[in-house]
Amino acid sequence: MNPVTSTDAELIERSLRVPETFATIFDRHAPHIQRYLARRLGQQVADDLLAETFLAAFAKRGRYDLGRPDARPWLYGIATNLVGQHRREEVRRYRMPSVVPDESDHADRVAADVTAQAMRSMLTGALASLSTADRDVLLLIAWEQLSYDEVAAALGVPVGTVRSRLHRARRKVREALGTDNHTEVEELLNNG
Amino acid sequence: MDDLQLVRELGDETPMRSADDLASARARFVAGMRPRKWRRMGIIGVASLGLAAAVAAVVTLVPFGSPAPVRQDAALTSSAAPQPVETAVQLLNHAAAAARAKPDAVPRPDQFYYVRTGERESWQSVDGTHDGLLILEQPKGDRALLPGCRNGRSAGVIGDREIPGLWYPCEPQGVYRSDLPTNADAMAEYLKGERRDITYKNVASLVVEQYLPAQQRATLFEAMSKMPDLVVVRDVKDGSGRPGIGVTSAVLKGNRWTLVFDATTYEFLGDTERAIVQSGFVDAVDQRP
Repeated sequence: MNPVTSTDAELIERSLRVPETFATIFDRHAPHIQRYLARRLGQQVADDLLAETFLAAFAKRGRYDLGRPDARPWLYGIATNLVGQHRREEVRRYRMPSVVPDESDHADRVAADVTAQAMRSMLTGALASLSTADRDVLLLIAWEQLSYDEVAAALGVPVGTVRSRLHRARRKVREALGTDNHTEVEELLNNG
Repeated sequence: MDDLQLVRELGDETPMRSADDLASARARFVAGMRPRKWRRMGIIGVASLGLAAAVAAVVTLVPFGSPAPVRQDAALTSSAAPQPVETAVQLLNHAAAAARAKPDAVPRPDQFYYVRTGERESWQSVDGTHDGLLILEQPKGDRALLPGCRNGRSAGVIGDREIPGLWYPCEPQGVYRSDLPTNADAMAEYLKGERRDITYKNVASLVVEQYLPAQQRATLFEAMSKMPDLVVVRDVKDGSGRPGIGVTSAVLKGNRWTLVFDATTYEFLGDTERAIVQSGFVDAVDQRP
């Protein structure tokens, strides 16, 4: 068995007999899962929860659906569950004034930055106002670029539920930004 | 203006970390995969369940960890007029005394420990050899089989179904933790384990998800009082909204680290996320106490 060319499903199946095999799953997916956790909860908590996510995955690997070659959506689902246990921290973070370090602190960018900052805080405020379930779907699609099917698999909900949650989340974001345009949303949704 | 694009740009602010950056998380993960010493102890503990409980009942613990003499007796007899709590060490010592005073349930090995926290319910095998069950809050009502470990192997499962022909090696891990130390130093060592940075979470997981006999539970709170930087949190609510008094770390502070106790009896209620709403030993999965 070649650890480079094997699918995740093959590695997970093998890890039931040879647990160390699961370390390869970490190596393949940890950077993405860490970034997802960091986007939602900040770097510090993300570092904390990264090992926890993979240990939870390791513990329940016996229940992995071996029909799915790529384990990343499953790992996103486990990470999302952990994020859900910290939803108050997540919401507080979105409501905080921006703490993004400005690495290109240049005078002629200030005016543009003010607009961008206002837009940004409206946006994060909108994220904070979403229900956890709606936010999960929106961010897995927008940030992690999962397909509807993958989000459905990750969260264990039907694809129709993914569509309706995304629809509701985007409507709220657009309302918060004052750019609600029903037709355009419908159009995007139908293309999605 | 595309709202999805705006959200995406917000996500772009967070860079992808390199494998080097993730090395310490990887080390913690790999360490956590390894079977630990206490799992081997667990088998002994389970095999001699009755004996261990009997021994635990007669052990007298030397109080420790408090600069002042521990007032166990005071805490035991003063539920009408509770001792004022100034420090986290005092609070945890009161919690330890309350744990010791609580009548201890000694289950049969074939029973299950039932816990409900919010909408999550679990039935875990007392000796680890019987099939338990978890009913999840998310997705709500989903059932997950917790396969028991018999003859050195347990079934592979998807959700609440076993996968025919798929087994993996195991050692039974019972939910009744009479195998844990009843000495505070040994307990502190156990807590540190190989994942010392999530020690507080270990404490919460142990008391919320598993059944510690009175001595072990008391020892756990005493061991916790040795941790540095503990602070008392007044007027805190547990995961089900019950008010209480909490203890957390001044360094790691945040909801998930706060353990909540009844402000009068110092009985452990849960943490700020999860509260033990109902618990007890039952004869079969799907039974409630």
